[in-house]
Amino acid sequence: MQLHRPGIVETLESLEAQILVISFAQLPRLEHWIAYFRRKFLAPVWGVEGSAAASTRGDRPFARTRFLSDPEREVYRAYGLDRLSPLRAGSPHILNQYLRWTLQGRPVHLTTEDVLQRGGNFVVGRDGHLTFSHTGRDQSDRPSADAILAALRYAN
Amino acid sequence: MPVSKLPGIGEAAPDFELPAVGGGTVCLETQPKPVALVFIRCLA
Repeated sequence: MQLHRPGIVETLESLEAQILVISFAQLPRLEHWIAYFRRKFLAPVWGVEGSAAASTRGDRPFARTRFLSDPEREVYRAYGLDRLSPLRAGSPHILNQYLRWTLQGRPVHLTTEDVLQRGGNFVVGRDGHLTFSHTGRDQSDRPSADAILAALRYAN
Repeated sequence: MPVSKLPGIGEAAPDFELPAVGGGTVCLETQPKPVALVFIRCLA
């Protein structure tokens, strides 16, 4: 959702929207990753660490967010999110993306986790029906935050 | 459980209940809406 981008959190607040982040990692691993995510991506913008005021601001991006664990991937499967073929996950398009990140100085970590599991983005309206549904052709194909916000507006 | 088809726009969102960081569980049906669901890939 790119919570570090200007205006995103404010828009979520104005729409009274919630975010449910679902991972196939176990809860302890997910908690560890959240701490890293806050420190790496949110702290520079929202001041997660430091003064009391900064700490209050730092909680704002996550005020409407819950992090959920689905290690059995039952909910992934219920939403049609299967695993990519190794050929698709290692396509030239993906390798080019990692090369670009490396050249930009962005950290690229090796992982022992399942890199083939598809992700996805959905928006559920007040009536329980979907106003947005997306899974990419590969791991680099993700919807823009603006597209998700537009669906949240429509769902409101 | 087999993989279902990707639910499309206008379809009912499949309900679920999952454990949450910080304790307790979250059930989609009782969650205030609108809700954005973000299924993340690996935590690299």
